[in-house]
Amino acid sequence: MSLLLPLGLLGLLGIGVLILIYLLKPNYQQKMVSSTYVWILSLKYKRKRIPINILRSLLILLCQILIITACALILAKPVIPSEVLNNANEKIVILDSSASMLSSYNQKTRFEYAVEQIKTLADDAFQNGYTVTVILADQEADYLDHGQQATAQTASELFGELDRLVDPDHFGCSFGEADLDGAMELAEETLSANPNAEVYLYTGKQFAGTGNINVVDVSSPPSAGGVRAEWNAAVLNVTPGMNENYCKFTIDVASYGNDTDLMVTCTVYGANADSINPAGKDPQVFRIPVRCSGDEVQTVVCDTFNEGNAVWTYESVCVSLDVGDSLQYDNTFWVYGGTKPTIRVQYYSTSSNIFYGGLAMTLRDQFRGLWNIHVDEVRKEEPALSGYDFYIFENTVPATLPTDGVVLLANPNKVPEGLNMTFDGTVTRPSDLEFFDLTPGLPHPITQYIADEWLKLVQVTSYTRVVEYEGYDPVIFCSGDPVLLVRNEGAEKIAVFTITPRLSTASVEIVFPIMMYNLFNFYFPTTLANSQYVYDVDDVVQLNARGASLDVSGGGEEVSLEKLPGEFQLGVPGTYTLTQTLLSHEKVIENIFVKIKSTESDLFHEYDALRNLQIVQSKSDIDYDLLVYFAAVLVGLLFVEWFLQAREQ
Amino acid sequence: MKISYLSDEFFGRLETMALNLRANLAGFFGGKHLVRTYGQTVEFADYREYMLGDDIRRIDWNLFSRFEKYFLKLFTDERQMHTQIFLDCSASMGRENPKKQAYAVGVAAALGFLSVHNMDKVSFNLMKENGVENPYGTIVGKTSFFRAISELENVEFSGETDIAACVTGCPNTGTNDGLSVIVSDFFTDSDWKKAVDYLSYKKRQVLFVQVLSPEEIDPLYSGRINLIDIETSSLTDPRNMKLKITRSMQIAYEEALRDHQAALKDFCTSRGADFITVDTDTPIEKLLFGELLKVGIMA
Repeated sequence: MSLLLPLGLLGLLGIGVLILIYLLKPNYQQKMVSSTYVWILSLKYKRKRIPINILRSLLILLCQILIITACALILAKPVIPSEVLNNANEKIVILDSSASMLSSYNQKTRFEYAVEQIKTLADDAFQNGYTVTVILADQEADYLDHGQQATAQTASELFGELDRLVDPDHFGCSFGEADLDGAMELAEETLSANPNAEVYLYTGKQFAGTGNINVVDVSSPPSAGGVRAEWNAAVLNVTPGMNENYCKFTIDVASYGNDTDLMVTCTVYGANADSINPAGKDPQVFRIPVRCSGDEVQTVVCDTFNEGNAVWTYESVCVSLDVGDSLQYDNTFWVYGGTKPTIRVQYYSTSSNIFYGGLAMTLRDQFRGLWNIHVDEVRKEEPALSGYDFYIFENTVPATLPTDGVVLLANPNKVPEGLNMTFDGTVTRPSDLEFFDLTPGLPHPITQYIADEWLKLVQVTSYTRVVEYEGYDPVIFCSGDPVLLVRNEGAEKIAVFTITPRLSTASVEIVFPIMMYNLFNFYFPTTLANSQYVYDVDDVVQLNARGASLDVSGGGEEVSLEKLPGEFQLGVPGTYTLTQTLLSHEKVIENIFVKIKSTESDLFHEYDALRNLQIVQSKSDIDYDLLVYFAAVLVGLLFVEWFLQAREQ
Repeated sequence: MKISYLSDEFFGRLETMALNLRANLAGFFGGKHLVRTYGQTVEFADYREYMLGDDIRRIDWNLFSRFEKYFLKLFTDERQMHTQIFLDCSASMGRENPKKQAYAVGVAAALGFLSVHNMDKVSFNLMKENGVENPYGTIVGKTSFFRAISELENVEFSGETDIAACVTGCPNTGTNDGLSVIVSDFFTDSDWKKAVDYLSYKKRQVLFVQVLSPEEIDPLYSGRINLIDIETSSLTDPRNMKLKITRSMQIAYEEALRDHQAALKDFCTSRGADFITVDTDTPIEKLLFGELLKVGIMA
């Protein structure tokens, strides 16, 4: 046994104090007795009868000394140094599970080569009495299920686990990056318990330095001429753009490990589709040759305007390289988002004005990059109650509200059937010199970017008081009454604004366009944040929908997101399909493309030097802590002392 | 509050009792105790042949007519005894325990009353330090007795007492003339055996009455106690002792007390003396009608 904190033994000074207390203890109670004659006699009897009485009388003192000793030892942190762990022979294996390990040569991937070599290493290790720890470094490094300090007895489980990694049905290699830092932290955990363990990293990556890690290179060895069996041509990125209102695509390609001429094929699907020809024409194919050398990224542009087959809209574009390289997952690149969804807006007012009409036009221009917004203004004829995505009714309401789109009731003259709301007349300002102020309700997406001071600038002379509005969120108040109420639950997407531009300055203040911009965004969110259609593997995509739910399929997964906005992690390169059903029961299908990271495509990229593993021998982890036992003894002694005291009394 | 057992009712109950002393005592003329010697009473005892010098008036002429020999008719003799009561007046007998003091005085007074009631003489010898005081002299008759005991109740119990020195130093112990009673707790280092031997030498009937309080028989205190002997003059006296009184210590105390009492009783028995021990919680009547009857002193 050794002590981590020997200074704790200073607590033994308490024994001296205890003895001093016993010596000086003045707590004798004085008792006058008629004679001590018999007591003096009794001393002889007591001594005669109980020879071990001295020991018994000292028992409490001994017990208290032991208690102090136990306390002092607890303070000194007693441990039994574990020699077994320090002498244990162990091999720690980190298996790189990044996308570059999928590069194949001689009919096998780097990953398969690595697993084979690990099995060989483990076999030798078990025969020599070593234990083997295997860490899989994929997106989040972790030990294999049976890979933590596996011994010869558990070898079969470990080998079974390794075999499953290369089983095509349970392929263990990821398409993302390897969490080498996490793997090294896990290795350091093991090293803290066993500093003599050897650490191996099986990878195809090249490092400027390997530190104290044994890096086993599983990439193809260069031949005598320096040529490797592996090479990789990749479409690294495609950026869609416009040239004279026609589409062009800027394509980054590269060939790693082989200087070669590549033919970039750019296939445009659904080009220039419109209501007349919704399917678009046949795919338009553009071929662009490019010379790649020196592992450098080459940028080519597929400009449809200059190529003669001008494209202004498209459904999808496939950019591909038809080559037989070592890594196939980066040879194809899909571009989506070439066609903007259409939103049909109907504005109906009994007294049409430029405010709402202008508002619709402003929205159309503002969201031009995201949506095709068609605005129909109805003045004299009856408004349509279906076929639109957004209905604006001003100063009047239809007998029944449309159910296939968002409804904005501006200054409604009555409560339509089924609105679940009660009006209590019109509130008019008390005098010509007084106005009502607007105040915000609880924080709401519709009031974002609107300062409270801006709201107060709006002067209201009259509004309709709403007294019952169960199920609606009051967003803006006027003189304590809600004047903007919204509801966005399932198929019920209704907004009620009880102020008219005629009797307020709302429409001439900055508040009004910002509020309507937010309202549009609130009811018509884009499916993809920032309308981004290309992601890397392991990215988390933020999703939203105009419908009640969103189905995501791709990478062998099918998920329905009921709670929106939601998140989804993309784990496999390729196309993911996002499907939502609008209020009009129309299905909207959008696609995104997931690519492997460009750094993974560069098979021979030289990474920075690996850091040295920190071998911090944690005594608390290694030493066998005796605190619990000493504490148990202490408690036991306290009970014994208590018993002796009670018996003594 | 002063405790007293001495009342008219108390003495009234004692009037039916009498001391039963040994018959081989000599005593004095005029008492009521039958003795082995022949005397002038009217109660016939025996005959014996006339011897020269005998009073011819005591010759039984009826026997002379039958046997033609001179026989004297003998009658029993009744003597007056002298009861010496030695009362231990040390502090241990009552300075801190008035009940014990009153009890001891009560026992002495009861025995004294029995004596005067039987026309015996009584002396109350107050043992103090190394000597005795006899402030009331030899008491004969109840008038003197009651006067004496009225003062006896006010005797101060203090200091130490050497029983042997007191008894042997007593100027008027008498010889073969009655009962000597020593009332004490016998918690003393003095050689009380010497007192027994001395009184036996004086051919006196001896009775030891050990008076103990309940606390002395079964001490209830425990823990760390500084026991201060009441007879000591300073706290540093070696008789004072610091003790951790535990249950085992109490058992040892009881055993020591028991052995001390046994030693007293054995020695007294070996010298023909009687020994009784009483608890102050025991009524004095019970002592008189119980313990003293057992040992044969009372009749």
